Amino acid sequence: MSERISLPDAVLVEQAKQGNTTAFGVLYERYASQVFRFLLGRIGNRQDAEDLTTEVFVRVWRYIPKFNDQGLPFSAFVFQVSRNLLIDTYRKKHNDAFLEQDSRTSDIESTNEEENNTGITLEEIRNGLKDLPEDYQTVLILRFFNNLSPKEISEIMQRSEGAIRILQFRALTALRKRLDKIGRDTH
Amino acid sequence: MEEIPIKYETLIANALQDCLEASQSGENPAEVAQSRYPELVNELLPLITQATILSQASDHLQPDKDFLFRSSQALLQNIRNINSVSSGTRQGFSLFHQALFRLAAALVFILLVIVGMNQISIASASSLPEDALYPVKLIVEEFNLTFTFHPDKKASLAIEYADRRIQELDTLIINGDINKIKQVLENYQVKIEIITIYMVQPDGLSTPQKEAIILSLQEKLASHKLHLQSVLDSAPPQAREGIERALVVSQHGLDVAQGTISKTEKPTQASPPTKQPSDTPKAEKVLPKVTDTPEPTTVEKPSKTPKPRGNEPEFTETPVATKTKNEPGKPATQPGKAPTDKAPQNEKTKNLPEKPTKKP
Repeated sequence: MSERISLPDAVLVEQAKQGNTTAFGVLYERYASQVFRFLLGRIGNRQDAEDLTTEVFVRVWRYIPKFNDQGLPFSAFVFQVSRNLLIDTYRKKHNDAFLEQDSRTSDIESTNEEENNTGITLEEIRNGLKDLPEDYQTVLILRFFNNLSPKEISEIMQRSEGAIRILQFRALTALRKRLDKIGRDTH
Repeated sequence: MEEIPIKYETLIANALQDCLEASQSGENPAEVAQSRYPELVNELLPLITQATILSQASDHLQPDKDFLFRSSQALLQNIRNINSVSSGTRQGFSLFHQALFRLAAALVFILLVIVGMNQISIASASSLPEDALYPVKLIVEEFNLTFTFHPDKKASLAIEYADRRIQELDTLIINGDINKIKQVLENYQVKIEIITIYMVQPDGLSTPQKEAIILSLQEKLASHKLHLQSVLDSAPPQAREGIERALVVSQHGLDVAQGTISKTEKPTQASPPTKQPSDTPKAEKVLPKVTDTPEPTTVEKPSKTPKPRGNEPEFTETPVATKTKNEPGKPATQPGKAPTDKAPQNEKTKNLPEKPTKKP
């Protein structure tokens, strides 16, 4: 098992393609936390993020025989599956309260009530994020919650690195304005 | 959102990225912004602050270790279910598929038999012994022969199929396929034997057309014989024996045909002759001397009375007409109707002096 952990993604993916669940388990251990953070950043609810994380890897297992790693790293593939699952979930439950965080208690708030150095709570961050366009949310979450580089994000979002840098700038500017507005409204 | 020129936006975006990368390597991004981008520092600092807030928030987005364990177990269970469902589906599908396949195969077979028989027979009709459809062609021929009950039609069909074998023989000799040549020649012999049987049997061919049918068969057999003789030299040595046997068979067929014809002629000769001897009977007129002349229809018996040779200048000259004009009461000689032995007389009369006619 320890030998496997040092193996590159491509080797593990090939083994998983042949039905090796242990190799797939290693891939899961590598990416489950990142997927969870991405999903929690997007939907704000820990329980839903956990359920969706498992669902993401079930889908990855189903799609892995068709996965061709030419030019696309496995991590990008996993995040693409995560994004698609979120879109499907939005479509299925757009009438439900699934993403109506106003009516639910955010787990981000419940887990961390303390304020940052800047005096902004995580709940405010979450509220600021949720009104942004989908690609703004995605780039901010992948960049700052998942700590991915612009190059990695460009592979996931299938845009150029320069486009990701501009998207990051625009998303941060938009979030700042949203938080300023939220701050003014609350104080 | 206020409009920012694209170039300026790109400039700030790149500067922001530079500062954020510096913070990852341990530097203070705000100091980097002030030192490297003093003209953009007012725009960069709020964004760097925002990025720092988000990065700090990520510390609180870690999943529970318990969740990761539970999730991995749930995932494994899901994978097992997926595998069992997919294999079950495959197994179920295979059973269903087998039944469906058998049904489809039966339907296809019936359709082929009912609907496609004609198409297959048409498609196979032009096939050669080397083709995949050739056995179908032979089966169709056998089928047709078996289910053709009229002796005349059966004999005609058999000679038509024998004709096909002869044509196929050419291609096979060029390709040098000995086994196929033997197969084709054997098939040819069978067809000729069928024909021979029908010619010999008293109730074989129907009487009114018997003569015509046998003549047609005879013609075909003669051409087969010629063809076989012509290919004998060019055929591979191993195939020659088969060709020679086919030659014997075709010759036998010709002999039988000849014998049958001569039998059918006897009663007509015995009956009182109603026609002039010069009017030769049809059979005698077209019958070949089988062993010598293979093309019976082209051979004619020379008539005993030679026809007038109208092309010759002696007959076209006017003195004949003048002579007849000078002989009142006698009909003018017509080249077609008048016996030709009178022509020399005309020739003589042409040279005779006109004295006797001028006598009172």
